[in-house]
Amino acid sequence: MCGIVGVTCLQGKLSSPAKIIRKCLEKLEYRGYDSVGLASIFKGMIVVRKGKGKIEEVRRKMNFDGVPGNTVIGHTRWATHGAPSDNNAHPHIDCGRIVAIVHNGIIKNYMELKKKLIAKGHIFRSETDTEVVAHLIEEYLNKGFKPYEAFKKAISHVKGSYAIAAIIISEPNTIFFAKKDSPLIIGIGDGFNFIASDIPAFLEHTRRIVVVKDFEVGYITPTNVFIENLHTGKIVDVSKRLRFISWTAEMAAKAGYPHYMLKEIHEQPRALRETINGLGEEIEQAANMIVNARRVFITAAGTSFHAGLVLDYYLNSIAGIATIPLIASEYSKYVRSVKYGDLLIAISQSGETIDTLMAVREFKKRGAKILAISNVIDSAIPRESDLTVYTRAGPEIGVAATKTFTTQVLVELAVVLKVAELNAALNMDEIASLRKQLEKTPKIVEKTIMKHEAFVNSIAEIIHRKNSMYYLGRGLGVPIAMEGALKLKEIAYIHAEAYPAGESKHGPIALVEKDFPVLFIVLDDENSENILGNVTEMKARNALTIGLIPEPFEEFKEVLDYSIKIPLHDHLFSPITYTPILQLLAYYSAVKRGYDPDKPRNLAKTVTVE
Amino acid sequence: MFQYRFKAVVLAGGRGERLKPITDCMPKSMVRIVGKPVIDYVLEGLSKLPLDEVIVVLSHKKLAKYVEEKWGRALSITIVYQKGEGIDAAILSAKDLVRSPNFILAYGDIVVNPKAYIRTLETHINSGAEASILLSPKLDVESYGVAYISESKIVSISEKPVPEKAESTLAVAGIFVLPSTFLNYVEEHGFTEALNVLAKEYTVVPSFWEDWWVDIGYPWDILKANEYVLRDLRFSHISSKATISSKAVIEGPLIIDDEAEISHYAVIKGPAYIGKNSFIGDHCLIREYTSVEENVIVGAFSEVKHSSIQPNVTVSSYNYIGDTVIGESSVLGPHTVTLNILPSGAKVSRLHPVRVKGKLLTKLGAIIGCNVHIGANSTLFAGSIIKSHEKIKPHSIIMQQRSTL
Repeated sequence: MCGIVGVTCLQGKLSSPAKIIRKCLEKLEYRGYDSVGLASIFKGMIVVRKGKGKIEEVRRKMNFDGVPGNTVIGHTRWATHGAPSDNNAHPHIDCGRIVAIVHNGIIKNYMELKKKLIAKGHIFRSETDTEVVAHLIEEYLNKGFKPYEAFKKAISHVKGSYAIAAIIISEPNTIFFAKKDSPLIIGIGDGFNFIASDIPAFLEHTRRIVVVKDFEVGYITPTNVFIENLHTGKIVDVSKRLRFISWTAEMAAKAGYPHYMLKEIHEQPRALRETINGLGEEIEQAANMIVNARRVFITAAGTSFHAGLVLDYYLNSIAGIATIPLIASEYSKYVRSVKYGDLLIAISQSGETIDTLMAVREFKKRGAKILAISNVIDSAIPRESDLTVYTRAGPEIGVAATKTFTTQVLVELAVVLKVAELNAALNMDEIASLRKQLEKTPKIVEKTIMKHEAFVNSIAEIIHRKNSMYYLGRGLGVPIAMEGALKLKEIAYIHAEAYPAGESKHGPIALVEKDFPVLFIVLDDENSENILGNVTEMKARNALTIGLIPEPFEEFKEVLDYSIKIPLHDHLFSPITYTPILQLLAYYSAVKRGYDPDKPRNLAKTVTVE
Repeated sequence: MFQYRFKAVVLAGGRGERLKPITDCMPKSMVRIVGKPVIDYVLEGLSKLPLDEVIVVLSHKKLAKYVEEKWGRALSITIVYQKGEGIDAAILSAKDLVRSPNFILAYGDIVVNPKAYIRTLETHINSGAEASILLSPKLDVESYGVAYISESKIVSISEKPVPEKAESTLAVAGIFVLPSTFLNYVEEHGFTEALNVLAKEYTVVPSFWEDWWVDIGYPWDILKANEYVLRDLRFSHISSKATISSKAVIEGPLIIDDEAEISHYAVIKGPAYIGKNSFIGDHCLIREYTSVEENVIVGAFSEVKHSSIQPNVTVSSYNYIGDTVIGESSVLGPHTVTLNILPSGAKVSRLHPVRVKGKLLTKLGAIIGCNVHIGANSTLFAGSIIKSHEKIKPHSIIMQQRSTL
């Protein structure tokens, strides 16, 4: 996901268009924030200012506000092709600096186009898919096509998803655009026009909008908007499509959902699918690092630590490799024992978590190799690591981690299956079967959410009135329980404790009284009989028992007050398939208590202070 | 300034079969929820949107008159009388009037926060999709249409699925933005299938409603809607025209409307609503989630909890009214008692057991039609249905239940 924006205005209609674009980019930051840039046309030249980093840093360094010109395009990036770097930042220009373009989406056939263009002598400056479009336009301009015709010709070659805005120096008051699958909105002003990925970006300046549809191309000038269908050439009557936004459209970013968190919970099937599609050779390299390590440490904080505990379970129980999981802020205890040949696996969604980063540095200093799992390409921890495996969950705005947790688990499983292949812990048939099931997890998650959302909402109706709750599991169920409890604590502000179910008798059961809620994570594994005993012992104390159980486990339904049935699958996938239910439970409990789940009190998305 | 505006079609016709006997004397959309007819909740939501016309499809003159008088100034209302029964007929009654590329469709029997209407249109505009449908998670899928979402799009809709086989629990929540071609699909395929065709041919995106939402389908939905609306009260509103005895005890939040009178030693424990020109007698106890609509008399020493008393009802002295709906203009004689705990295991569509001290109880009192006369000292068993215009002798014990309960 990336954000694009552009404005073109009559001289003097808007004071400092570049500054306006910078402000628009700040509003689009939710769509990506690893690099940012803008381009304008001034005195027959294209001015480009761009760089890696947050808008706040780059705009100061590059003096965005000082860029002259009445036609400006801007971009905020979330890296997919090519790491965040100054070169890979948008806008991209062609060889002759006559075209600048910004793009949101993925161009599927860019390698093919790039090869052809290189053969024709074009020189590429970045590793992005986007740059090909700039060169394509140049190619057609050089062949004598008029700017708009050249732009259309170029777009007709592009396959994949895109929202593109382009400026060409021979038409200094025009922004060309095209759209397929990525959002694009035109804002119509008096003597100026905007184009952007969403409405709030320019809402301050105009409330009259036109939504561009798939396969439409066109251009805006300060006084005109032209849209036509790329294939049929049918011209769109803009006045008929004009809409007036009479309220503040803060919702745009949430795509119809009341909160980012709910949106991100629902996005998990897609995030998982994209993570599966993005798995590359780094999986094998990571597996080799693990197999060759003297000892394996796993470190992380918060939700990522629960993903770490899942990895700990996988490595021990699947691959037969003993691991030492440690909470990042507690790393100092282990520092003296770290030696050359050890491996530290560091998990951090943002890649900037300070506690994890400190542990990485300290372990590295003592000769350990570092393997990172992160969602943000080239962030601090990946930069300081020997190898990084990336999740492709896309930006996560809700403070409570949701889709990043399940995608972390997914890449862990992919790595561990490779490890098991390398050290022959499983035979090839078993591995093949598990890989096949892994492919199916996005669909299982989708079905589970669809099937149970209302029921979970009704359980939240009870939970949200409680002050305390237990989450119990055994084996792989323990980290799932811990993650569920953390979600409830952080957004619903209900005290929740998770522990291995066998521990009840050693103390915690003393707190259980009538209607005390206890949630059980029941997996299709060797523990199911024992955990049935644990449910019964809680029931005997009149606890309110809730269970996430595999569909065929009939015997549990009698002792559970509320049972949520998950389709039967290998228990190894349950952190991915069960956790969304726990996320929904926390979400609905928070909403019913009147809290904003996106902005839990006292918490920040990325913890950068020790 | 040029403004793009929408047309809306509100479906407020039909007989309200499932809501009988409450709807014997009033159209479904005129059933009062906390002082307002259901249709007001719908039109209030629509009034927040940029609309140039609201087409209200209905079957009752009474409703037409009310809508025109109450909303004629705020909205540009066009009344259409429904031709034929069922949702297809209702939508098609408005077909020739839509004449715009797309329109908003709203069910006339939904009680929800006005923000739900805003969110649906906002989702529509922001997404650029051809259609948007509001969805809300609901347990009783067998009484709703449910939508399946994949890749952020609605891919299919199934009407009233069997719970065990339902693939989704996201109910179609009665607010849509649709292209006008949809009307042709309805003509050809019928409503639900038309939605499926739409999902196949176009991009249909979900708008998500996480908060309460009630479709007034069954009489007990009235109680649920009262409960939610009253639960959302943030402060009390007591009309300066109300008369409240200095000896009465009033705990908020509650609304006491114009000309209402609360007599000596009455206790009102909010959240509750006391309607216009209603009278609460001496020593009454009006408990949480009770909505006493206009021109109602509650006689001395009566207790009312979690109930809806529709306009012009008289509840005589020494009554106990719990989890009950009383239809318009009925009279309950002295010492009428409603029992309100259904036998365990009773299954009632859309009525869910509540947990009381660790036990699961399904609570439902009586459903009393309009113009009913109940003689003194009668006892109504949980879930009894009293037909409209019925006269019940004193000292009766009523156990009649309807088969659909």
